[in-house]
Amino acid sequence: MENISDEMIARAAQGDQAAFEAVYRSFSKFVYNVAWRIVHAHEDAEEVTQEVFLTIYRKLSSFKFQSTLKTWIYRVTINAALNYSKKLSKTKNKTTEYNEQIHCAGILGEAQVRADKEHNKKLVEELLKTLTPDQRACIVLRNIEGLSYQEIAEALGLNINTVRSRLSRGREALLQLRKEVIKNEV
Amino acid sequence: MKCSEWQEIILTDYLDDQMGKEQAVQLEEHLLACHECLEFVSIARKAVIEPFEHAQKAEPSERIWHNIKKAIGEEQESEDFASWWDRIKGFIFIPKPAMAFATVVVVLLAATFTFERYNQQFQISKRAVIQSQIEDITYVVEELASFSEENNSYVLTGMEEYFL
Repeated sequence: MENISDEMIARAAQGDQAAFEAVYRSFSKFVYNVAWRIVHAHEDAEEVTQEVFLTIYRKLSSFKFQSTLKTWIYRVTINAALNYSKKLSKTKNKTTEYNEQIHCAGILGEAQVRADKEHNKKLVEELLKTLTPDQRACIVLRNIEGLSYQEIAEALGLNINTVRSRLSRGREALLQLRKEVIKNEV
Repeated sequence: MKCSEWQEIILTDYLDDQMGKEQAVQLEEHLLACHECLEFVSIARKAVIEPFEHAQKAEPSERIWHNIKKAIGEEQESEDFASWWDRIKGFIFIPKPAMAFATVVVVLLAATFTFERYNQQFQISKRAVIQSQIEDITYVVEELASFSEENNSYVLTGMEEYFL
């Protein structure tokens, strides 16, 4: 993620498309990956990414530089991804959810013996699916994107202790899921 | 501090390297003495940190930027149309609902007032006509009465007598 100068942000806010494209190029990978980890499917992540950048385009003129552009984009991304995820979970069929859990247990069993990239990719996807959207957002921002607790708190508009608590509960859930497998490996 | 409390810290601040120096030293001392917590660190790291360390990142498709650019273009077009329409509206008066309602009320009030005034004038002129008709009739009756009085002393001519 490159740093974007204030001048470039101001130009993008005035409708300069080249400047806005620079903002897009700088943040699109972060936005897309966070969205993908939260909503799971690439098609949904594309939709969220589009929504995030259109929101940024519409509201950039009212951006007052009170926080950094990065923090603001983190926040817009997380809100859009969580809203999308909640909307999806409302329409999700309960049977599908149950089948996914069974599938998840199978993948977790296989993952212990196969450590190749493809399996790790699936393992990460399935681990994230077992979390609540709020816990998932915290774990994605911390474990995959490497944000500090303070940055996560700012991005989510939360107290730092709430971030800590969500991380703790999420990791506790993952630990319960994988503890036995890891003990057997050892 | 109990092992369960240390383990909660291990699961967050310790694994994320967010601990204060003093607390980190205390935990390291505890780990040297507590096999259970030391094992917890190893399992927790494998379970909740390592899988994500190798997590792949995806490259967003160029299609996304293309769609965004298209949507922005469409928004700009509709904004341009809106500003053009606003300019046109400056020349043409198009009442908004509240304004239209107020206009209708004013027109109705004006019509009622005008009708009332006209009606009053009509009543007045009607009364005047009736009055003049009454006066005319009175005049005719009086004339007839005086005629009949005069008629009593009237001497008919021969021809009048013949016809009457």
